[in-house]
Amino acid sequence: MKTDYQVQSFYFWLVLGVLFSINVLIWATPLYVENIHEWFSSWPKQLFSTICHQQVDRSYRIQGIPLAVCVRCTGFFAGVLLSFLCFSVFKGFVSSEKSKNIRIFLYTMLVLMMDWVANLFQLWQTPEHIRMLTGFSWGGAAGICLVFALLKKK
Amino acid sequence: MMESEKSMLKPVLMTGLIFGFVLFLVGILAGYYIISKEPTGRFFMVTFLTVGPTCLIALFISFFAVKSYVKENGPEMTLGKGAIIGLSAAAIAAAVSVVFMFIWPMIDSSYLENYYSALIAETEITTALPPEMREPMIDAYYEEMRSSNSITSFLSNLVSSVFMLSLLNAITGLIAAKIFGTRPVETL
Repeated sequence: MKTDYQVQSFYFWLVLGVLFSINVLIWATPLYVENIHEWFSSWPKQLFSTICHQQVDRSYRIQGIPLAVCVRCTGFFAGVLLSFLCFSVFKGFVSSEKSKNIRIFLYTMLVLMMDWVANLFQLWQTPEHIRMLTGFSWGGAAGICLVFALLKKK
Repeated sequence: MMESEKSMLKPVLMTGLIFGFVLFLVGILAGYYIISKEPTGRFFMVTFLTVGPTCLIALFISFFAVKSYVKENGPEMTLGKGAIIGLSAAAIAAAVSVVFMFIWPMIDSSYLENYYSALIAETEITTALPPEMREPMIDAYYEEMRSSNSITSFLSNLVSSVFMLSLLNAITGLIAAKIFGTRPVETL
């Protein structure tokens, strides 16, 4: 992408605010609740229950209290935020071709889905950090697509 | 202005209603599958089935809503319109699926009890969770089972589902607008 493109600042700050809040909420949940009993009935857990299975043994824990989402979703949301921030600054790396960005998104999604299904059918058990990485890479691709969406010619 | 608002209504409503029903259907079918199978202790299978498919479908509601808008009104649209279409369609879909989920136990009165009993049976024998996690989880399921058809629980589900899905689909709506739409030509 050439330098004659710019990120639309209104949407940039709006999206950044939403992504940042989601990440803070995910990581702050263990600090917000005092014990595992409280975690199950906490509002951050309820909030994310629509989009994540929140299985406690598949979530990062801080002092025994799980984050609001599983390892993979934690990676996904961190990936979207970091990639959105990075590629907004280094927008020269984002392709101006629609199909290229969609392909990156679909490939990383495919990797995640394959690992997801393999874990589901017990073909293999992916270690925690690899699960996080599959989420992170898909989130990273989503972040690139977001920057692509917000770019406009100067 | 009125013209553009009117033209957004049909694709948003249609997509919201269809996806709301699909989310409900997938959720309820997963529920019956969990009820019908013998507990195996494969806890991930159960938690995945209850959320995994609905999550994937829910994240892309905005794509279908924007595509449907473009089909009816042509590709000219702003990013903001994409976000609003995604947000509104997801809000309708979330509300519809939560309302159906609330109504369903009135049709099949044993559904909730069977569903939570199956979840509790899975949790009791799973080795995936440490014992100190299993106890509070089972307590939480009992608590959910007791309160699941109350108005408070319905409202809390409604608010959290509508809020989360709308927020995420407003963001994916921006991408959808860029993919399926074209920027309106600026005139003086």
